[in-house]
Amino acid sequence: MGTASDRSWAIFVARTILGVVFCIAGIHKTFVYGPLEHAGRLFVEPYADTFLPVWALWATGTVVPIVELVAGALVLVGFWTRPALVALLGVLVLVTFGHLLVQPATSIVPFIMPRSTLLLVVLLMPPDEDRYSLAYLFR
Amino acid sequence: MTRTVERAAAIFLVRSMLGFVYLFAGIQRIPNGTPFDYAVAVLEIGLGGLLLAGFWSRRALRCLALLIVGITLYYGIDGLRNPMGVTAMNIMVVNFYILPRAALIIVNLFLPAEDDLLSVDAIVDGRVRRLSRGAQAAARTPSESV
Repeated sequence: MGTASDRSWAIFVARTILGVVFCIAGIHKTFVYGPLEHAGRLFVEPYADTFLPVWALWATGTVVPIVELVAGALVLVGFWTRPALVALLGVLVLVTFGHLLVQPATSIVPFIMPRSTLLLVVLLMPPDEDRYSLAYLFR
Repeated sequence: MTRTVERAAAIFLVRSMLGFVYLFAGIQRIPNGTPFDYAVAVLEIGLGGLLLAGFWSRRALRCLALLIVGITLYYGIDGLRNPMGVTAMNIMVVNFYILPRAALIIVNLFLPAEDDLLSVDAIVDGRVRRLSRGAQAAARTPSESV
């Protein structure tokens, strides 16, 4: 492995890119679509013919943009990183299930897999080595 | 010895690949002709060249880390101004521009600098000389003991 400083830089790159991607998506879904519009267009309508209960589709479709926004911002600045990563991991598992329920297996390649890879890089590295973060600054 | 050479070769592969990516990205950017393009091209060619030679490669990697994070922020804000799809950011830019470069930068940073022997850094700080002396000593030892 590289030096601790080099690893910190590597974690910084992975964490900030992951944070930007999720935070931007969260901002767009929350403030341009709106959580309810997001839920209706992307969760309720496409899954209307599946066994999934409508209340669950509304609930998850409304919550996902806010989770992406808040957790993405926390990951971006490196504060409460672990809980935020776990929240984003939950979103990724949820949307993987959702995509594969109605689309081919390759549908998760462009969006979900790259994000999952970045998330794993950050999640599997020791938190102490994430030096270029707010959590490290205020510890 | 073999492990050392294999590790050096592996590091050389990812370092030179990243170096070539930035070097040629910079060269191809020059004909675009705006002052911003020239500035970025100079940066990319310089950092790519340093990586290719393996000279100040860790410093160059840290500069590239800042550059790719800055570029990601730029495209993130651009995605909010001109959204493309539900995630706002241009998926082609994220998947074919940002992520492959970020992955190479991350892998390079995770690999140990001291094993990067096929580089100018290793020649300058004497690692190659020490290694070859050690190999010569190891080769002499069995015949001297007979």
